[in-house]
Amino acid sequence: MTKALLIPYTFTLLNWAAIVGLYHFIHKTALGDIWLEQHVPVRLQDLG
Amino acid sequence: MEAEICRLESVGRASGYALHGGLKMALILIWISLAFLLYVHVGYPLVLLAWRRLAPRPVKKGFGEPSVSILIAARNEKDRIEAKIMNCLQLDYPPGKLQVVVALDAPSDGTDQIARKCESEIVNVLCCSQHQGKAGTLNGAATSARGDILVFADVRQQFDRHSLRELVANFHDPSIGAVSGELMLMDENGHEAADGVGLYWRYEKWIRSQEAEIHSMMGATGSIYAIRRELFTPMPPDTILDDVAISMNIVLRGKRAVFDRSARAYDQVSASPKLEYGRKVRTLTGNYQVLARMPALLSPLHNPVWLQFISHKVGRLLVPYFLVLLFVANIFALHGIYLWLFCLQATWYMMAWAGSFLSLPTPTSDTPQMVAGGREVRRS
Repeated sequence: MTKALLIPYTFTLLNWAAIVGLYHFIHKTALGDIWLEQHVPVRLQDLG
Repeated sequence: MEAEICRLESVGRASGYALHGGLKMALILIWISLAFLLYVHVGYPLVLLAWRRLAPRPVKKGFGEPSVSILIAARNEKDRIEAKIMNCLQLDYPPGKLQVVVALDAPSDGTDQIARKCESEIVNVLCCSQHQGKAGTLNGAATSARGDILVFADVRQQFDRHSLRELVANFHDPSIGAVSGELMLMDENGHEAADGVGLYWRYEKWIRSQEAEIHSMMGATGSIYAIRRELFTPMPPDTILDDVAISMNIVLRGKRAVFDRSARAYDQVSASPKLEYGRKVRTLTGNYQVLARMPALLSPLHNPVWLQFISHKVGRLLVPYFLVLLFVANIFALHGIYLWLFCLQATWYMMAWAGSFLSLPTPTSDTPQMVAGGREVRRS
């Protein structure tokens, strides 16, 4: 029963994610995920 | 659809009424939406099945031992970084042919100190003082790589012992430019997850494997994929999906990006779809970014897997809009089979709503379970 309800929930939620994803892309809002919050120009000399 | 509209028009005329223009439009939109949704979720997989049977392109694997650099980009991972480095060192591959580049993006939790303790001839630790983002960190790691093959890995997931050898074997085939391994999402019982997110991921992997057997998959799995070093081009530092950008760039350059299920990495399935949702939002935002930055992917003249890309990646981005269109259009056509269709949709969304109460997160260990099929795969 749980599985039967989780499938439509997951499907709906992941589809909704596409709409929210477009919003983030258009507005260039921070995703607050992994560690991509801060975007600075790459400076390879800082590495190593 | 035409027959249905004609039938309704005849019924309308017979009863003295012309078919309302709004109803006709609703029926058209319903059928367009249904056709699109069925193609993306049923038709396209069937096309792939038939295509794979008619024109398979198997990969000619060969188990040589080219030099390999494993690139691990991380930020604050003090609890996992040592286990990940140990995992890399225990892989079934000659140490003399292996390099592990740990690129740290200005960690603030002491990850760099732990990683430095593991430094050796094989393990190189790079640490930058300013945040670069994951793509920028990977760019830096790639400049330090010595191997002919670059393997990209995340800290969280653990490789199966034979994964590296299996991944690398694909490059024996000169047409192969990128190879993705299989990410196994395990449940708390040590079996591959089959509920909600787990089921979705299994479906996605099946699609990828079919696509790869024809030509190329549409994007690699970020936690385990490999490319030829000469095909690596630095990414803009704000790239969201390095795995999709790198692999699709390789496809545009005429090489194949394939999926090898014998190279596995393990992780725990998200405790609830809500947790997976955040990751998915990021992934789909990244897909929009890929479309904007690589417009050649939308051109059948430049993209050798154009049909697959449109059907898989673009189709998935458009599905929610057609779902909304279908539901709204259906409200204006509530008779006969359309009433049943509406009831089906309403039931589906009510089940989804009920499902939201069942998906409360449960506490999970931070360390991925290293079990598959009930047996331990590897434990350091």
